[in-house]
Parts: sequence; structure tokens; C-alpha cells
Amino acid sequence: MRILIVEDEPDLLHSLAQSLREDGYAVDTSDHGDEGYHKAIAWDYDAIVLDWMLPGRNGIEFIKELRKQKPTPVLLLTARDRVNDRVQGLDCGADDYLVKPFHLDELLARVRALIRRTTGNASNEIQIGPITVDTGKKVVLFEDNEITLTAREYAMVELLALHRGKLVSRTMIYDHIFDEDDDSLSNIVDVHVSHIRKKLGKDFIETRRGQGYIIHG
Amino acid sequence: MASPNVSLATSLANDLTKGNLTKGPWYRSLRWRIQAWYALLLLLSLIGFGSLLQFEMNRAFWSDVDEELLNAARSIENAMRRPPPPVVEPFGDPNVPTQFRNLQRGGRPEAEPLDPLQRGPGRRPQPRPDLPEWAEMRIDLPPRLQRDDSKPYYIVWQANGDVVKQQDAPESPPNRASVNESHLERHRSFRQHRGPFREVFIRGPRQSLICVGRPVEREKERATSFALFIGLVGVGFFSVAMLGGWWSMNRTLAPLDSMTQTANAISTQSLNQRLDLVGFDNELNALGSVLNKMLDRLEEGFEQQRQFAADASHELRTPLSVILNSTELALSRDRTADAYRTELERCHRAAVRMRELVDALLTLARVEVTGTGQSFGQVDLMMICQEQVEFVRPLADELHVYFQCEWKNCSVIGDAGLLGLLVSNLLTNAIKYNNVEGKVIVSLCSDGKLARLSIADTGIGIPQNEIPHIFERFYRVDKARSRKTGGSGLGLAIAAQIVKRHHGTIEVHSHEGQGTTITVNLPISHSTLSENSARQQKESSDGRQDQDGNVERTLRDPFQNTSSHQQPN
Repeated sequence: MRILIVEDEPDLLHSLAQSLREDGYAVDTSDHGDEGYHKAIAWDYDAIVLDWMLPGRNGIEFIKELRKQKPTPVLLLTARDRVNDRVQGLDCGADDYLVKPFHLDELLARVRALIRRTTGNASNEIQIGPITVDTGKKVVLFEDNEITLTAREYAMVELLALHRGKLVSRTMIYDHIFDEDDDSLSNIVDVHVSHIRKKLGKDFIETRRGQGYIIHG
Repeated sequence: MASPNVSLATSLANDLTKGNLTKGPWYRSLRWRIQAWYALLLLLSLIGFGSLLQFEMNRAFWSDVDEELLNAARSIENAMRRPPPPVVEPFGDPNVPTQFRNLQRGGRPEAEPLDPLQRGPGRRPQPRPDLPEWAEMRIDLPPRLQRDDSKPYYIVWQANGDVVKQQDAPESPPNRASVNESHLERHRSFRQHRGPFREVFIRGPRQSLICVGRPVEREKERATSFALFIGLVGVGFFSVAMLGGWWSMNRTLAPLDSMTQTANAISTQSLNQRLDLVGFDNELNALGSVLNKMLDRLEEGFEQQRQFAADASHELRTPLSVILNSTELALSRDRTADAYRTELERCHRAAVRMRELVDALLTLARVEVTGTGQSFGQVDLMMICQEQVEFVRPLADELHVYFQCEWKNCSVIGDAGLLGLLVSNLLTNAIKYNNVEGKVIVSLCSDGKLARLSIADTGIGIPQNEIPHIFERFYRVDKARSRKTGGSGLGLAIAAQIVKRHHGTIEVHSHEGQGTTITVNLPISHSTLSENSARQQKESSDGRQDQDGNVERTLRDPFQNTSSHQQPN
């Protein structure tokens, strides 16, 4: 899952980015409204964490213009806690609203919920045969036994599981698993897939040669 | 962090809105008092009018009766003065009661037994030498008086008080002694009410006294019923007038009630409500518009306070988030010492920012409550400038900014601490928003009345449309830039407040990309200070609409001049 954070306070930006990364997300950051907007247009992020008060275009303008082109879920961060502000924020197209100061756990939970809703899942747990993917705890269970996966491997399983039954292209995997700073090798996806197959069984991921991968749920 | 004005306004508005309008006792009610005065005046005039009417009616009526009786008395007197007719009527009119006849002979009426035989027509009385001749004359009351059943009577006393003649006298005859002789001497006639009788006395011939009277029960009854009628009419008028007065007063005061209700409904949440003045009379309209203007000012004050609180909390929330999130992140799992150090540094930076912010807010609050003149004295502005330049020099060196100072010895009236803060704020801004290898030009001079301190930088300048806002609290021309340079966003707001307290002016001239010059004019003597103070008060009482929020009036005009002046560029 790839997330964009736009926040102009550098220390806050850093801790947000780091905690999301530690939670297994690929994270892009920006400290300017205009720059963030261009990134949001250029990539299909799974979610955007957006500060309201920004240099360049502010959060509200950001969302309004983004909504003309993309339905990317947006979590608006702001120090404004008045009801009017919340209403304005949500009405202009934000999907969720979090008032500063907030707990990182809550932010992570809200980001998870946003992604879950936009991929059309009602629950955190996705059942695929004997395998359970728990997007809340970020673990994969094989018949109730936890399978140890690296963050990347888990992210890939989660991406395929959320889009189970649909073909997921290699480009999409690159876009959603790696952030802009990752200097990934071209065959890194194949390497991850082979590791996952070793841990979860050969048939868990099916390869459509030249197109991508699919999990049959 | 409420400024004193605003907190005053708050308590005032709370009083207004919580309905703390103390209701006095009923007699303090304007309505009751007006009504009471109205009633009193009306009652007095009605009583006066009624009494006058009654008095005049009585006088006219009794003077008619008196004239009648007097004429009768005069005709009796005339008859007495005439010589006696040749044929003398037999003494003893059958109409005259017996006891009077006895009285005429000097006997006592009680002692004389009633003897019907004495009244016999055959008994001719003998003329008596002690009686005047008219005593034996038959004198009748004029027929005019004898109409209806008015039962007139007359009595004649002779000088010694004996009754010598009478006709139809009532059971209780008038007493001669009750007649005031001296009064009779003066006025020739005397009238009186005696019980149910009206009587007129005049002098007759030979010191005799003639009394003509008649019962006036019916007239008295009529007079009483007339008085009653007047009284009833008066009460009727009074009631109608009172009801009408109450109605018209309620109508007049109804707008006041509606104003009270509206004012009651206005709370701090609904300060945008105004009194509806449509259809109000002039006096109430004036009151209403004064109240509405007061509400305007209150609303403005509240809006400023609200905005300030929102801004302050907003400004504090961001560093608070940094501290919270950094510590949460650091504690979420075991980390290396370097990682902990990094997070601690973040927390420290955030805490420093919060301290700056809180300091600035407190300073601003303190400056706002400092009254002009308190702790003011002769202050050497040049020394302050020198001190402050030295104070900020490390920052300037760090950013490779150089000072160029041209100052003359100059002192002003003010508070040394506040002026130091002012200069320091302006210098810090000039350094922070400068370019590397830029200059800060500080010049200080005096024109004999005002000290002029100008601090110019060669930095990035301020866009024209931002200039009117730069003295607002937390206003930042460019957020991104302020993040890097730090600062609370309150520096210029504090500077403006300090200048205001010193009754000076502050002006901004700026060209984008070339630099900004801030010029402060401060009074150098007490006389200039009070002059400026008076002018500023007059200007602020002129009441031009404040559109720039916190920007002081004295600050705005220079901006407007500046903007229009610089537009051709």
C-alpha cells in the first residue's frame, strides 16, 4: 500500500512517514501543497494524508482539484477542531478528518479503514482457502499458524488479497509496494513472489505471464 | 489570553445575554410611574373642575332664591312703611299659629295653653300702644314667592327682639340672636341656611328686623344629586382616561418590550442578531441604533477574541502533535540510541517553539494591558537601539547579514523594556527575512517632536496585498518560509501594540524582491505624547469601519498611502 503524506511541519512529517513505513506502507512525502498535488496526480496512491494549512495550495483546494481527477481516499489532518471546519473539510471531498494532536495508532487505524473501504472490504480479515490475511494486525495465518513474512512480502500479499480474483499487474505492484525513494531492481517482484510461494504454497499466487499476478479467492 | 477590552466586553455581553436585567419593584416600573403621575394630575384637574362647577352652579342657584326672598322682604318692608289702610283687618290671621299670637303679647308659648275659643273671629284685638301701627296691618308675601308648594314664611321682630308679625312661620322659627347685627349693618341684608330653610334678613322700619324664608329641602336634594352627577361623570372620565392612557402607553412602550426581548435573545453565540428598528419612533430608533452599534462593536470584539483563541490553539497544536507523535513513535518499539536522540531532538525543537509562542502570547497580553503613561519616562532610544543591535548580532552573523547604522542621540517618552522589545522584534524580522550577504539599515533621527526610527532590509519584501495584514496576529506572509525561520507569528503584532501604547505610528514600505522598510515615529516629549493621544482618540471615535481586523487605525492609513503610492511600480 502506498501512501502520500503532505505536511509542512518537517518534524511532524518525519514521524508520520516513519510510523507509516514501520506499519508496512510505502510512503511518499511532500511539504508543499503544489508539489504534493502533482505527486497525487502522478501516482495512484492508496491513501493521502493531507494537512489543511499548507504553503502553496491549501488542503481544501488540494482536495477539490484532486476530486476532479481521482477518487483517491484523503485523510485530512488539521488543528482546526470546530464543527464548521470539520464539515467544510468533509464536504469538500475529504474521506476522513483527524484533529491535531492525535495518536499515531488512531491515524494508522483510520488509514487502514480508508483503504479497506475503498477496496470494498468490510472486514480486516480476508480468507483465501486455508490462509487468512489480517490487514489490521498485518499478519498472515495458515490454518491459525502465523507465517513470518517480511514487510514487503506482507505488503504484496495484502495487495493481491485485497484485489483477489482480479489481475494485478507488475506496474501496479511497483506503484503500490515501493515508494519513490526505493531503488528497486526490475526483478524484485519476482523474487518476492517466489519467497511468498515458499512460505504459503506454490498455488497461492498464480502468474499470468506478461500480465501480472492473481490470487483466486 | 483575552485582552482586557475583550474580557470586559465578554462580561458585559454575559450580563446582557443571561437576562441579568434586574427587575425592580413594580413601583419602579416606568409604566406605573407615568400612569400614577397621569392619574394624579387628571384627578386634581377633575376635582378642581368639578368643584368649580358645583360652586358656580350653587352660587347661581342660591342667588336666584336669595333675590326672590330679598324682593319679598323688601315688599314687606315697603308695606310696613306705608300708612295703614283705613280699614284694619281683624287681628289674628287664622293661618298664624296660636302660640305666635301669644308670643306677640309677650307671653311664653309653652306656658300658654291652647284655647280654641280665643281664635274666635268675633274677638277683636285692641290696638296696643307699645306696638307700631303696622303690627296690626295685614301683610302678605308677594304671590310670586307663593307659587307651587314652596311654603314661604316671614317673621318681623321689633327692636327689642319681640316678634311682632309673622306668616306661616315653621315649627322651629329662626332665632333673632343668630343674626349677626354688624354684618347686617354693613350689607343691609343677611342670608343663611338654617337646617332645611333658606332665610333672608333685612332691616325694617324702626329698627325692626324682617326675615323671609322658605324650606329648601327639594333644592338641597337637587344640589346633592347634581354634585353626585358631577362626581359620577368625573369618575367616568377618569376611568376612560386611565384606560386610554394605559393603552396608549403600552402602545408607546411596546417597542421597548420587543427590544428587551431581542436583546435577551442575543447571546454570545448569536451576536449577529440586531434589533429591528422598522416602525420605531425617533427617540426609540436612536436608542435602538445606539444599541445596534454597541452590538456591532461587541461582535467585532468577540470575533477577534474567537479568532485569536482559534489561532493560538492552532499554533500550539502543531508542536504538540510533533511531541506526541515523536514520543509515540520512539516508544513503539526498541530503537537505536541514534533513533532516540533524533526523536528527542524533534521533541526539543517543538517544545522550544511552544515556549516561544507562549512567551509571545504573554508579551502581547502584557503589552495590551499596559496603560499609556504607567512606568513611562525619558528613555534613551539610541542606547536601546545599540543594545538591541548587539543582542541580535549573533543571529545576523549566522545568516551573513550586516548592519549599517546611522543614529543620532535621541530620547523618547516610553517604557524602556517595551521599546527594547519593539526594536528587537523589528531587527529580528529584518534579519530573518533578508538575503544572505544582505544589509539591515538602522537609522534614528528626530524632528524635534517625533523620533523617527527606520529599519530597512534588503530582503525578499512583502507582496502589496499582504501588507495590510502583516500586523495581524499569527499572520504569515508565507507559511513555508516561517517554518524554516521559526518565530511565533506574533512579532509584528506585538510591535504594533507597543507603538500604539506609545501613541506613535508605524509604517511599512515594501518592494517585493528589494526589501522592506519599517518606520516608527515616537513622541519625544510629554506634550507631543498627549497631542498624539488626543488625535488618536479622536480618530478612533470617528468610527470608521474596521475592516482589517487587528490592524490598528493609526497603522492602516500609512499602508493605504503606501499601496496607492506604489501601485505604478
